[in-house]
Amino acid sequence: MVNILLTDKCVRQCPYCFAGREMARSAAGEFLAWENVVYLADFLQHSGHRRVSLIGGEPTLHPEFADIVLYFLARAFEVTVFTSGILSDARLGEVEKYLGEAPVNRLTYVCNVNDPIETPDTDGADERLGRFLAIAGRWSMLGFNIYRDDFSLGFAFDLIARHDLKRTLRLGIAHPTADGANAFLPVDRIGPAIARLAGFKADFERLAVAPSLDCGFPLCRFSDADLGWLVRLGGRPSFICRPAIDITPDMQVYSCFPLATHGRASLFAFNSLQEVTAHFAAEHTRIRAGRPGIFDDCASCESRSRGVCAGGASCQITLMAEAAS
Amino acid sequence: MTKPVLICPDDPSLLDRLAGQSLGLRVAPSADVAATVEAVRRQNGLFRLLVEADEPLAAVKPNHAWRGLPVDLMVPSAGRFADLAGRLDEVRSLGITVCLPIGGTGLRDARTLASLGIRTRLGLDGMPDWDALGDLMTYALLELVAHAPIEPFQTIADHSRTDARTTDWSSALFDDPLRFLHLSADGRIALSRRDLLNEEFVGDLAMLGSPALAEAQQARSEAWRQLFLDDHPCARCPGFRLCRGRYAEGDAKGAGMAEGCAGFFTEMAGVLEQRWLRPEARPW
Ligand code: SF4
Ligand code: SF4
Repeated sequence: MVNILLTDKCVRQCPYCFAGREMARSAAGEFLAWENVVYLADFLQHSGHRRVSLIGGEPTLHPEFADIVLYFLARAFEVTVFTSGILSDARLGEVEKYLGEAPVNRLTYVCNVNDPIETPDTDGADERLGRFLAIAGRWSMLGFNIYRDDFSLGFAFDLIARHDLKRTLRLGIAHPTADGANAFLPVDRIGPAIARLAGFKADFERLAVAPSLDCGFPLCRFSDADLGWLVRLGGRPSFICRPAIDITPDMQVYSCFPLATHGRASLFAFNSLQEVTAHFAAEHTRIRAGRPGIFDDCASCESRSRGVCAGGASCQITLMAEAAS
Repeated sequence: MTKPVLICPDDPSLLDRLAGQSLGLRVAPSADVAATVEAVRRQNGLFRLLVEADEPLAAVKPNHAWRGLPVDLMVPSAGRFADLAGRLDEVRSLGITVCLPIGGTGLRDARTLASLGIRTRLGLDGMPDWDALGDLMTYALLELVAHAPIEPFQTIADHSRTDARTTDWSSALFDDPLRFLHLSADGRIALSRRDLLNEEFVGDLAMLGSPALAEAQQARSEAWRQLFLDDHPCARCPGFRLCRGRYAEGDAKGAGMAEGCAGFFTEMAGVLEQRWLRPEARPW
């Protein structure tokens, strides 16, 4: 997975934000330059990779957001945009005008939503999100980050039904950043959070929504029954943590926000995506050399030795190793 | 000397006087080119259509009569990509070359269009931002993935493998006085487009084919030799082989310069070497 940060700026302040450190580092709010957009398309095509995720901050803040999406589409890429769905009127107008004919199978917006009770709407954000989904619903699915084990998903199902969104709900565990300063799901709360997720099974079934799990879920915290309904509803659960490649507006590259300080380098130092991936795979191996997984059981776990489960997320392992030392 | 191509406006009274000549016709985007081209082809050879637009590419309505003709569409910029995106297939299918200035967004636009399979040509008049031009030159010559040619870099690359002392790529910009003459609507002759715009003429149509005109063309073509006689800094410039003193009156500040034109052409020599060293450049 290649994530391109179009900007460090954001419009929200999510309690679990993985990107806060990055944004603080570049308070000026840089935007990815157009020449680098072309370079990235070339670099990825040269590497045989035709998928990009556009992230931020809030990627739609980039003044050339629509142009960049259209450029990657013109270069035959599949594009996924991770957005809050909170857009200015002008930018929303551009999305409608310029991206209204984009192929549904090659452009997806993943709208990351927060529980309105936990993070109440302050300045009309919910209304803006509603307007975005009314326009871009055909291309949109929701994403939700779990940072506590008593979360609710009712509001997400309401949005999916109201705007007839794509029938997938992406679920991520909020992982700790390098300093652990964000709100994240501690290792001992992952099991209860998965049990909580199972409580929404009837809603997933009712709306035919596939639960899609992001990286770092531990296999052993799911019962066979949980795995059964996840798969039956179209989710393809994976329990692997491998380097996602994040590329910053100034063309730095690292393996996902929480590991932004590990092995960070300039993208121009690499000749292909394969080289970048190998570089960060080595980082992950190094991280896991001291501690193979988030649970003590991981060391002797058969699922891990068979490669079915990674033993949780590398960033969790880093934080635990640092706490232990 | 072979007969030069005459670059001229599609003025009917002028065209009547140019029977038997090979022409590069300067036309407006809205011109009824089908009829003009038909008339020209009956009496002349058509070298290219040079369509001069004053709007960005995104705003120019492609003329379907251009299909199958060698067309250079001269625009001030490509315009906003979002406005252009829906027309890319149409532009590509017409097979035209888009000509861009080196100022404004020209360099960025050339890279974008080339990456999408559209041929481009940069007018190298005036002083560019050498760093930005250097980036584009590297992009054009050391392509990571295949893209459409960006002129004049493609011509420079093609010609630079010969043993000649200098690489002459002025023809890529229709600026080679031995191959191209530029005519005003009233039939006066200039030796370059820049001369035409500055209204510096060497004569009029009566001069075509005359020894005096041939002499003027030859003298202009070899004007670079004077730089050596004058011991101009260009004569000691490591980039001279590729540049031939094109910027002698502007940015040339002397050999050994790390920046400006000398830095750019010296860098280009290095990039060309890399290009020829790549395995795919050697079919044997
Ligand atoms: S590797 Fe660790 S997290 Fe994964 S199933 Fe085994 S014990 Fe659980
Ligand atoms: S690069 Fe500049 S200094 Fe060198 S030959 Fe050309 S004009 Fe002269």
